[in-house]
Amino acid sequence: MLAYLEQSVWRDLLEKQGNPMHGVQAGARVAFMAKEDLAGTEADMIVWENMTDDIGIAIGTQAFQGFHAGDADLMFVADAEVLLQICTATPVDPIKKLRQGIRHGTVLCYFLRPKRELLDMGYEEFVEALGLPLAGCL
Amino acid sequence: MKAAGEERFPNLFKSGKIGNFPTKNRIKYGACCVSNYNNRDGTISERELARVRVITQTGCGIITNQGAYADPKGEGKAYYRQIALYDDRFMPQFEKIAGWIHEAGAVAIQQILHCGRYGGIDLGYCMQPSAVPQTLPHFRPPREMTKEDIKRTLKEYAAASARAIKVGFDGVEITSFMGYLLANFLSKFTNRRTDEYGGSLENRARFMRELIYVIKEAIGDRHILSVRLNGAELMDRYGGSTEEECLEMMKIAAAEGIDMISVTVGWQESPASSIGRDVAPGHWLYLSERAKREIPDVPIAFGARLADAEMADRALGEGKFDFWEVCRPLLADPQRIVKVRENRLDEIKPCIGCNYCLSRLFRDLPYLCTVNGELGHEVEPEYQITPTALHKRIMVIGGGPAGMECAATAAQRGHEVHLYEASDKLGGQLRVFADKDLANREDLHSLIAYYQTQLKKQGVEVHMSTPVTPELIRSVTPADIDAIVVAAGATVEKDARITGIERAVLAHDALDGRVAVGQKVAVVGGGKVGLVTAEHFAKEGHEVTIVEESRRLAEDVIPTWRWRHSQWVEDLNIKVFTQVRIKHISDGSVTVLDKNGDERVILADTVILAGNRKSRQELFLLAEFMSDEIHIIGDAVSPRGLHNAIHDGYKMGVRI
Repeated sequence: MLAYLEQSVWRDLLEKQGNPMHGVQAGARVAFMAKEDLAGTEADMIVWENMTDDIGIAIGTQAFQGFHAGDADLMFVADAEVLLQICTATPVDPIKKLRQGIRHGTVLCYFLRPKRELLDMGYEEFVEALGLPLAGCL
Repeated sequence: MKAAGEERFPNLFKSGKIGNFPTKNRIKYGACCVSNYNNRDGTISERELARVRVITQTGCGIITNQGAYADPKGEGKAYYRQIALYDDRFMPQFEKIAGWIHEAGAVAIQQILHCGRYGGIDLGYCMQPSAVPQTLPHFRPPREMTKEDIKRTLKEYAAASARAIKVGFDGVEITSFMGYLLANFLSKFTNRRTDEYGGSLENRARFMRELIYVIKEAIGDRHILSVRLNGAELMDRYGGSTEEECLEMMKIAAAEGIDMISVTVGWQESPASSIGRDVAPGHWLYLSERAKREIPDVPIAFGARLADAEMADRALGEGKFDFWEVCRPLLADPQRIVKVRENRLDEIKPCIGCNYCLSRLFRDLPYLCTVNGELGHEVEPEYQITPTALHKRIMVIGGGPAGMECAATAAQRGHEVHLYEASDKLGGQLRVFADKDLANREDLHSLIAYYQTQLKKQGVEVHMSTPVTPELIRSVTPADIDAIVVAAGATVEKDARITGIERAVLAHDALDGRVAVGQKVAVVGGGKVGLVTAEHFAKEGHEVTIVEESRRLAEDVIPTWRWRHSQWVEDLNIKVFTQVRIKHISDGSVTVLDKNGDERVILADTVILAGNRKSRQELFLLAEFMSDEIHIIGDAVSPRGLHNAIHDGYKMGVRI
């Protein structure tokens, strides 16, 4: 199994970081997947599911069965090594790492829901923190 | 006798040929995506027809009418007010347009446009070769096209093409520009099919070959089929096609017997710039040059980020393309080609590559142009420059974009205009930004130069270094001046509630070099003024921190430029603190309060104030009883963007 799929690594990260999805509605889901797995037939991805404020983000693993087969709202695709760096880097700041990755092309961000739905779900701040202006996007 | 511009630019104005049709020159009006001026049902509006009349008078040898979607469901429709050609009932209006283009002596081409990945705007989905998700949330979730969908789409394209020819167009155009359906099939990024339409380059080109075949069948050999193809997708990071593969696609299209290839650059979602001011003029010429070299027998049209007639004429002469394709620069100045032909280049209103037009389109609004206040209002007499019925002597206060636009427009109508500028240079804030712009600053400087020429040619009397005071107004009115237009702009104000505020300097003073700036700089305000200031000093090697009260930077920046600023801020290692308020400025630092009320100290040798912009309205209030008429425009009304300033100036100029 690829190291970035270890749920404990992400749990440690979020314990140190707090909830990067704060403000996004409960049940919202963000997925992370290795680029090298996209070409294959079977692959797993890490999923963050935002819970209530008390609980924060629940980390899970889910089989990837096509971009729209799951129920993620956003999906980040990068080399497994890059994903591992994002969740183990110090100082801890996964959003900054994602933003830099998106900026430099090492992380690809896919929107699996249209803008209006994402705004209704409270994603504006989260997406804008990634350097992608949601409300003012193209 | 040849016009002066024809002598100077012989390559642009020599005749040409596309398919069986001779052209009067080598200039093609590009379809310019769509205007969004039309009706929701796909019919063409009066607003559009008035606009088309202007397009037909541009002097281009080939005119391409904007893309019409061809399917009744609207899967191909990407813009709420895009025109349609899926039914015979749409034909009469197209007939009118084809007729007008012919009356102007141009070859008439109708673009047929299925927007693929960006389509389905009225639906909850879009159609693509494969269901590859969106990288921008503006667009609809994708559905994979079945083979039946492909067959139906081909038929719809053919039928729409036949209708275009039937109403009098000389040819049709299909396009992969900007990432529309054709591009989606050609690109490895969006075409992940495993059937005969996906995989190898030949398979990915199958849809295009079939499209070309069915359209040629529908329109016959006598008519033109032009194909717009990307020379570069700029989608590399998503696994898109390489420039070499793009070239191969052009060769495949050429082998199918098409009449023209228009070489374009970029997709709507490309993470890199293609036609904005941050790309150097002529940057993409190598793509057309290569296409011309590799495909010598098919006419190549090209115009991406190539607005300059001199550069275009030279490239044509050097065989880098066969037709200069112009669209956005003709939004800025529809008379551009006429002025080039008459060698009046200094009278051309430049396209400044700001992409305000695109910012509007992607907010689902009709496109407008920053520098052309008339665009989109051609049908409204109130927006036309007409001779004045009552000659007036007008005092315009302020030589920024609003004041210059108003003065030149009013003078063109026959008024006697006096423009007063407090400083020794025209341009106002625009000049300060033009000097420091990280993108191609020549674009903004060329706009100032245009206004200087216009003020002179329209006979505006310009009073430089003349601050307007109530005394000055009193000395010339009411006997000598009939109307006053206050275009005094805005200024950054020092907030007296902040202790130590006297230590801070104003952004314009810092940018203009009127005050010394230390190594560590704190810029207060993360809007356009603050960003330009921060970026400039960071580029000069200063350590810069932006302090912004609101949640995010660039709130007053148009969407197509926000991401550029965000990238520059990151590239230049500018530190950013948002949701903080200044409490105190001392020697060497600034103390701020964050949203929780906690204090934070930022080291700064110089604190530059770039937020808290206030309109200069004093003269407007003071002069009310000093003149028959008094008006206020631009930032003096409320601090806003360049487009607001110019549009205010134009609207005042045409009505005063």
